[in-house]
Amino acid sequence: MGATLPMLHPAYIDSGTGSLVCQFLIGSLLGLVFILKVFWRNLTSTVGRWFGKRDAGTPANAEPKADSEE
Amino acid sequence: MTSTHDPGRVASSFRDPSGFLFERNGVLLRQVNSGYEEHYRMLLASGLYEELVAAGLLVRHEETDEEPSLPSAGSRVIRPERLPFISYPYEWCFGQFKAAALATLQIQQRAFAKGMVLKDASAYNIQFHRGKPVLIDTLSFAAYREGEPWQAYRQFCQHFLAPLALMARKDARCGLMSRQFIDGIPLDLASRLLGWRSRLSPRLLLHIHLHARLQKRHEQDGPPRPGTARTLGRAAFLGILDSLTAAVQGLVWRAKETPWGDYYRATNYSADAFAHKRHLVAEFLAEANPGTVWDLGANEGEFSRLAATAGRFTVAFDLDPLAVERNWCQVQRGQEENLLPLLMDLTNPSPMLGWANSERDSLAERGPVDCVMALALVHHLAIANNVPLPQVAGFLAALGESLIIEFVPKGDSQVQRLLGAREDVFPDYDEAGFEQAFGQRFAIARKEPIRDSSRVLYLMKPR
Repeated sequence: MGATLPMLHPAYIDSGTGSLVCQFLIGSLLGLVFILKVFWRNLTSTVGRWFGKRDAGTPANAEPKADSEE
Repeated sequence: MTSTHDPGRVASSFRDPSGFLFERNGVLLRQVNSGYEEHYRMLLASGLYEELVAAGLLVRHEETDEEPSLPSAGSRVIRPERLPFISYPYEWCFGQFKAAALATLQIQQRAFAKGMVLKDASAYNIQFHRGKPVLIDTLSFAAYREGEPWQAYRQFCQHFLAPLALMARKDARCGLMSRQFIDGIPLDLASRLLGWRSRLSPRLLLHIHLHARLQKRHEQDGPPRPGTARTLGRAAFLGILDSLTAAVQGLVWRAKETPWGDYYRATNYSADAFAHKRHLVAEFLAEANPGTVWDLGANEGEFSRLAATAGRFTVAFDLDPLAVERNWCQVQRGQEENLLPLLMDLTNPSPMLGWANSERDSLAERGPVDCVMALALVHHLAIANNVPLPQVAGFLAALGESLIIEFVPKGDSQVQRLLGAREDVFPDYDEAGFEQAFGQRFAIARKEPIRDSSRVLYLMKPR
């Protein structure tokens, strides 16, 4: 399975071979979900503006609030 | 604590070759090593440092002309803002853990937008300062190189996601596992403890269960063969961060009542006694005039706030996760900057931990504080835990200078409850015995009975 690994720049902590493989396995799926999510937010935001509503979505690069559920 | 092997160097600061913390003439300094210089410059030049400091997510520092502690390796020395108290993940309630995790992800997302990444995601790099989580390791950033995965992904899942999932889905006390597993909860263990139902959560399925399985499968793998490099695209990188953020945000602790969670409502105080106690504590605090206070057995922080609102930095310790959680929520709601609620079992306080038993400081090592408050606590230590009163006095004397302490006599219903199912083997537990035991360590400066109760409040000064 070493064939699927990246040529990493040295990290001072152990990144974990399995953890890197995990990122490659799930990265494509989660990347696609992320792109669709950003697209959907932008779409709803644009449509909301067309109909004069308040911004229905959050910006694509919105950051989570550190205390979001407190 | 500084290292015994390398005088001046902060004992926990040895892993990262980018630099290290050291103390010189009582001032906390950080050496930046030559090999990290390029990344440090990028942190400043990209505007990331200013952005994170302005957002309260990164500790502020000043550049100095100080000589490096290790001149052969160092390129510069910076002076980070010193925080009044260093806490550890095993002392955080669920809400604090979650806030720390989200802050780490937010920092990573902002760094990525500036072409940098967090090269580590240790929970020990996050501290609570002025009521908010803040990254204290200025050297955690590295230039992002196109196609690289997140090297701190494993560490983030072990340090944050696994304990949070266990706390939310199993028991809030699972946060204490971080005390044993100092590099985060092993994912195979988290996976087993979380059980099959957690696999129904797609994000936990990916980041905990699948992740644990792949770690197991590849634990014996060697380095990749030359020419077989794989890359992780930017969208995939951001997708992983977004998914981790959603995973953390989706974890909610639905707290059940604990014996202490209803403490103030179930107390045996009359309203008059409670008001008088508040008045006396405020008066004693004004008389002792401490800059820093530790309130031991603080519950939800009712009396801690008397100190904190007067501008005194106060740490409110309690052993009950629900009480600490409620206290933390109040800190958040009120944007309180001087109060830090933490979990602490005083019958088994945080010990020295980690490499050479000196990486993480014990509670006592983080003192002494100007003033210790021990209200309605002594009977729990002396009767519920059988600690002789002179030892209680010795322990409290080691933690702080002055002491505000409440004596709760045997006639009090709370003490009667503790004695309910056991023999009374505490012949010296009375007011005279208390004063004699504490008199060996402290001078009694004030002694006031609390109105409408059998309790007595003392202000004591060190001998």
